[in-house]
Amino acid sequence: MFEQLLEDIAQTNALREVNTSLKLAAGLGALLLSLVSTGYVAPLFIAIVVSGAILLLARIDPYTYGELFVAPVSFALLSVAAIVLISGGSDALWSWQPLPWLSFSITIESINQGLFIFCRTLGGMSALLFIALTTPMTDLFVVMRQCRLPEVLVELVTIVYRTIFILLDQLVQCYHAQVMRLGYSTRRESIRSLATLCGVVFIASWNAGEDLIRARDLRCYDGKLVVLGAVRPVELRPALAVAGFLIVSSILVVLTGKITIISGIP
Amino acid sequence: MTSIILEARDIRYRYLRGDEVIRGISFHVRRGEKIAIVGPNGAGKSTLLMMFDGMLRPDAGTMLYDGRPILYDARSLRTLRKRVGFVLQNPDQQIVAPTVYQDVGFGPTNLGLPEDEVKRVVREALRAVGLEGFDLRPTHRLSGGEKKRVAIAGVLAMEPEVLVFDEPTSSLDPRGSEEIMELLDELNSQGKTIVVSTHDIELAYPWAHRAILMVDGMILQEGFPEIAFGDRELVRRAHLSTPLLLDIYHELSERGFALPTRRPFSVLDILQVIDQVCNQTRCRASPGTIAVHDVDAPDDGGLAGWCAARPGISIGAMGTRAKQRAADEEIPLHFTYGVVDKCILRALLGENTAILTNGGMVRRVVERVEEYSRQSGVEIPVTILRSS
Amino acid sequence: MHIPDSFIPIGQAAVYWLIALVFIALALRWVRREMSDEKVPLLAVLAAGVFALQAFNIPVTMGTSGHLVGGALVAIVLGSPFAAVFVLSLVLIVQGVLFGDGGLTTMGANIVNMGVIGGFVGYYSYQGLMGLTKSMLASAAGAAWLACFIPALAAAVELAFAGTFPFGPGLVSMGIYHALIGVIEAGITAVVIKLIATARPDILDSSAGVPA
Repeated sequence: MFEQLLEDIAQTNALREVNTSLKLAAGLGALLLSLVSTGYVAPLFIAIVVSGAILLLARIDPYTYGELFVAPVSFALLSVAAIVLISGGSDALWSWQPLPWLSFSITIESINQGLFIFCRTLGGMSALLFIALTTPMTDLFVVMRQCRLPEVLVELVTIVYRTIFILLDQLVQCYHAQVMRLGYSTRRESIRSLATLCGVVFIASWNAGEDLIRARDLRCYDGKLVVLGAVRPVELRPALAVAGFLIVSSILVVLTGKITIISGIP
Repeated sequence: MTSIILEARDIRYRYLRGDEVIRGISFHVRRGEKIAIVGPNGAGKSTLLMMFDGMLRPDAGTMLYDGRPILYDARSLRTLRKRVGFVLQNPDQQIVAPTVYQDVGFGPTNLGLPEDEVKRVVREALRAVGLEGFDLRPTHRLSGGEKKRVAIAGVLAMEPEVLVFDEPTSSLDPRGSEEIMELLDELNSQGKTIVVSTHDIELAYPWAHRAILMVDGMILQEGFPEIAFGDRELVRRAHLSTPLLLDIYHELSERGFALPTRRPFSVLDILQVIDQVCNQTRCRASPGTIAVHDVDAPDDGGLAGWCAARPGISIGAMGTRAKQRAADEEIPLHFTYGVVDKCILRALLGENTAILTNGGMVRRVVERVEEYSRQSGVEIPVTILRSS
Repeated sequence: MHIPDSFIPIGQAAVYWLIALVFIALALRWVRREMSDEKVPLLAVLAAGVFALQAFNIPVTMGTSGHLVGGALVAIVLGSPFAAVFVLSLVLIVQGVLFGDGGLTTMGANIVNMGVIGGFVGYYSYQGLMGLTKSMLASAAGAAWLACFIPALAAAVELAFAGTFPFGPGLVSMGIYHALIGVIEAGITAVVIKLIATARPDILDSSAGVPA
């Protein structure tokens, strides 16, 4: 499970001390710009710069980053392949029709479209990973409160966060117990074991809820949650870096909107 | 302000789909007492404890706090739980927040304390359990022992009068267990009443003022530990075993030896018994001295130097502040639990020792040594080198 | 069935977000009405449970991932489609915001698909099937399958609107794939409901899912 890994990395990364809102602004800004762009250049630029920031500034281990990136990139490649083969277009460079209702073709548009989506995915993924890798959850809670999000929501989210790790622990233990008793030896057994596992986790989470209610009552719960201070000041250099990055990216979005990898019909 | 702070009068309780778990129990706890409720699993200890905090309501009988029956409306329960702090057996069930500070501060915040007050009590509570500096740690990243201490800190931060612990040392390693029991002693010396449930009689025997043996929802025996655990038949019916030192004492007694009337609670005590049995005292050397340093005393930085100047000396620390001081100044500690007794043992062999401690415990050291001197006839000099 | 960020343009994503927010508000109203204040954390821990279950990811083509959704399960156990909306929204928020796993701009669409459509389809088909077969297991299984299949179709439609995938092939592939995964979700949902019925029937007994 990546969750614990991400959280551990976030707690110890080199950009930990940078103001949380700044990091969020960088990440969300990068994400939005990637999405708004109509050409492939800007998202690609964003992906490269953000990945660079993750590897060089936050000093995240490249292997770890690669690991985290592998799954989404493979999805992206698969879907891009699908887009390239299925989208169609006016000028087919290659086509194949194995069945009357099933036809594949590679066209200029589909290649452009595929590349565009791929770069957009890279930009978005790297932006999200930037946030996940440089901002520990506990800091995010502080920001959520600062944004005046409803208390109820922040409270619920903290409960989910707190409970997840307990449940994941239990889930893993239960899974191991099942494996030790050959619960996954045959296909039929596996499905049964998996279903039981899900049931156990579901019930465990219900129990956790009842425990939580009791634990709060024990300590005279009155609807209040503890405010956690620790807001780091915004420093000039990081602020300038983020602002510069966002401005350059925005300019690219505007200027390179029409560029495609294979020109011809845009 | 009566002297009886908790009382149960003929209470009965049954779970929704089961047999009766508590079948008529009456007893009381006095202010400032250390009570151990001992019994096998399934005896109903946890159930009973939960009634002291209003978590469960007896089907029959009355639960009283400070002489008044417990009321079960939300407001009264809140007041009760401010005064009676409960620490569950499983800390995962007790920790409610993602970071240590937020969890320990949960109680005080909900009691309405302003933010800087909350900061103060949290800091003190964390210091008391030895988790200073853990404020921003995520709670799911803590070890079992650390989680337990966070749970305790969370209750301490509410500054209750009574502390109830369900199996305080379960899932702790031996050193962790020792430290928790010593923490409970420290809290008791500050005036708090402590009630624990356990099935570890070796733990309960030397620690408690009074012990209550519980089996099958009923009290089998109640009284001073040496009496409660002294009846072999009762102990057997309670599915327990006799504490080791007491067992040795009984065996020696049955062999016809004349023994001191005081039952042994510690290694020191049993040595006295053995001395009497063998009719000779082995320590003919003149006893060493015990030097006591109060770590709260205004210090000119001489403590570390004093210790360094005596390389052969054994040093013990009592209480979390003393241990913290020793860690800060890199003073090596030889004893962290049962410090006074161990130093007396060393002194009997002619060795000098030093004890780092603070507050009311300084006097306790002196009292213990004097008590020993009275009983054994061996005078051990105690010097208090610094006091506040 | 989570749609990642780059697959839907901002304008449409905003629309889905609006729809999602409306339903979240409705769900909040349901929660306030049906559950006492202190019972609300139950929903949060259920969300943690669903999160843990969804953590078993099965990578899938078409750029989205297939796994247990849990919408029907929550709706059936708690006795209301709004419960599913609420719990799944929490799950998606935690997944996306806290763990960076799942789209942020597309969260609205995902909430609509898995929470709203999944929850409502799951709940009402359960009621309908119970009327027909009187078997809790069969109805739960059927409801869970539909709550997996229909939202997948919806996702395909959204992706087609977004111009990311063509309509026909998208519908067919998402449909077929989730029809297959739906069988697993159906089976698991049925078994879980049976487990709860035997081990903790008090969870199901409580009307509208509120424990006594």
